[in-house]
Amino acid sequence: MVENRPIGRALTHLVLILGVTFLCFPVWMALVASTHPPEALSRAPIPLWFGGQAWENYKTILSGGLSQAGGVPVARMMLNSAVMALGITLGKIAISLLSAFAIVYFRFPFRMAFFWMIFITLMLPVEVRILPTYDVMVKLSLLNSWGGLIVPLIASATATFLFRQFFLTVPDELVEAARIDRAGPMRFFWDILLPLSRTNIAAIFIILFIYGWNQYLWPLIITTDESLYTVVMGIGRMMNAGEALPVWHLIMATAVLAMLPPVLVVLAMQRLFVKGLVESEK
Amino acid sequence: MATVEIRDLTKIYPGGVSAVESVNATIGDGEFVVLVGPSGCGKSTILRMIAGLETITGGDLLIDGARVNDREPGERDIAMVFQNYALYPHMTVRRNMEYGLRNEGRAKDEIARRISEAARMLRLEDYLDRKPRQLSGGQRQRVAMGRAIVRDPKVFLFDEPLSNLDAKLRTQLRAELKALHDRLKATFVYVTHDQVEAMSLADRIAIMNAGRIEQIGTPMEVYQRPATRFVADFIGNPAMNFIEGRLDEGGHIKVDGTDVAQLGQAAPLHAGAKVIVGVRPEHLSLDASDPADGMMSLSMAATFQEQLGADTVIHGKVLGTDDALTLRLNGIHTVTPGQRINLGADTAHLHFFDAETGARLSA
Ligand SMILES: Nc1ncnc2c1ncn2[C@@H]1O[C@H](COP(=O)(O)OP(=O)(O)OP(=O)(O)O)[C@@H](O)[C@H]1O
Ligand SMILES: [Mg+2]
Repeated sequence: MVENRPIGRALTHLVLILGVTFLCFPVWMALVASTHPPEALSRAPIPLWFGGQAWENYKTILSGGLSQAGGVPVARMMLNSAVMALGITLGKIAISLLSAFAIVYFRFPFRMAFFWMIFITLMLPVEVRILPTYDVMVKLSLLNSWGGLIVPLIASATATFLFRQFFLTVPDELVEAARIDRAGPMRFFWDILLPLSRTNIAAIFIILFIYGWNQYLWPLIITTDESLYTVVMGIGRMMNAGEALPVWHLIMATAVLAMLPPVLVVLAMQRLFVKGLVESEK
Repeated sequence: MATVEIRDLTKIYPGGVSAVESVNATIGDGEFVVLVGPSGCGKSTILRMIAGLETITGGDLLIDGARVNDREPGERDIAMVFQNYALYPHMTVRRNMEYGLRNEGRAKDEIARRISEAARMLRLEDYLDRKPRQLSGGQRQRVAMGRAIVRDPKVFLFDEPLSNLDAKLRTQLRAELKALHDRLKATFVYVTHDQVEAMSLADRIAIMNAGRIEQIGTPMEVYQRPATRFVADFIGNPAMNFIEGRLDEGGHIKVDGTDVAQLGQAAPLHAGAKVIVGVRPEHLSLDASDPADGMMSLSMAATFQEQLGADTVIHGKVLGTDDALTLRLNGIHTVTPGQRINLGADTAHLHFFDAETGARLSA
């Protein structure tokens, strides 16, 4: 774009190709390793090309379950992860849309105080408040439950803040036109604000889904019941399987599977996201 | 169709800005009233108080005889057209127009009937399934009007609806708006800062200044008998010329020592008081031959001219002073800078204002 000389172009491409290679290499290794028998991975030259064991490896982890991971089939763990990630994502979006709506469109006492309280929690990640949160969950007897897994992660200062910023850009006249058109606050929210936020919701959905899917520490602490294990936890447990040698071929196969849903979400949502950018309304 | 009555209406914004101060007005059924005034004088504030979008600090607002101060905008039976259209961007034209009716819970066939009627009136039939962003500015503004029409409100409110359009489209939509009013026979309250728009549309004009109404009257009333110097200055293009004069013992107004007029009986001013004499550029003529009866004569030094085709506007100074003077002549005239021009004005066309209060002196 800037440079049109051949050397410049070649150099640019070289740097880009190097970058891509660097980023993709681990993924490639995981893919390759998941298709080999265990012995191949413990010998000196680690294979760089696919082996012949793909079918067996994936079948083992998907259906059988692995003693090292508590005998839970990976399919089950994927399902758990998906429920948790979707629960967190949808919950976060719903809550933060509503709180941003309240903060931007309503005048109530201590409005700014509430806003700053939400804003300050941006500085407190899950890890910092993990003990008190755990305590609360115990008292509510939510250990080992979907509620315990999802609810504490739902409050989101980031998304609230982003939606607030977006709502502030919606022209006041739209609110006023809606008031004249006899739309009450919730009707305005549902009929006008929500459709206008579509592309923002898509973008935040991507970020939050990956955030939810990758949760490790909290599920580890809150669940001891194997039927609630998530796939990220499963990988962790397989690697720390005590004295036995790590089963790298199976771990890598699980990792590959664990990567798929976030990739699918990105691909699916990107469509909407880009579409929103191209045919920007107004 | 309805009347709008405004009694001592006052608005003080949080923070202490006093935007509207004790405004009184009565708008008749089916009347087209235009609020004009310079930027920041409180026009939009009044309109938004009528709409219910702004709370009323003091006074009463009556629509059709009922006090509506505390009613929600949706319950006042008004419709408003905004300067930037304020169409819902994600809805089609049809949905935009339907939205209010649906919220009122109207029957489907009635909604459809009203939409097709409004679409025909505004020539929007071909655009009903488009989104606002696929329309031109003029079409968008027509959709905004359509959204107001389908609700069949008691009062239509417009806040500078044509300001975002180019001059040609503005003229065209102005004519359509006038025709619309004639057809709907509804009460219109219209805000603009464009005096041409005000003069051509209004049954009555309200000229505002700093939160107050200076004068309400028909376009010809405010043109021929401006109640204050502010109104005289605001209405008319090019603006009225103002020349300083003095009142003598006999109630005569003198400019530069020459008698220009006899002020009617019992002028509220003492002898020697300053008086402002106003004369419109179009009422000055090159005919200065007989300065005797009924004519005021004065001389100007021209500085430059604007040739507009049908008219020529000559700018200059009153000879020997720094007071600006503008002269509008029919046809094509040419002046050279510095040229001295002798002018006359029929004293019937002169306006007199108290130099201190700006109030009109009866003459
Ligand atoms: N929300 C507000 N808070 C405080 N002051 C305001 C607010 N809205 C308007 N004002 C002030 O009130 C006065 C009148 O404003 P208004 O919008 O009615 O002017 P206007 O006559 O419509 O001007 P324009 O022709 O520029 O639209 C202005 O001095 C403005 O600064
Ligand atoms: Mg305004």
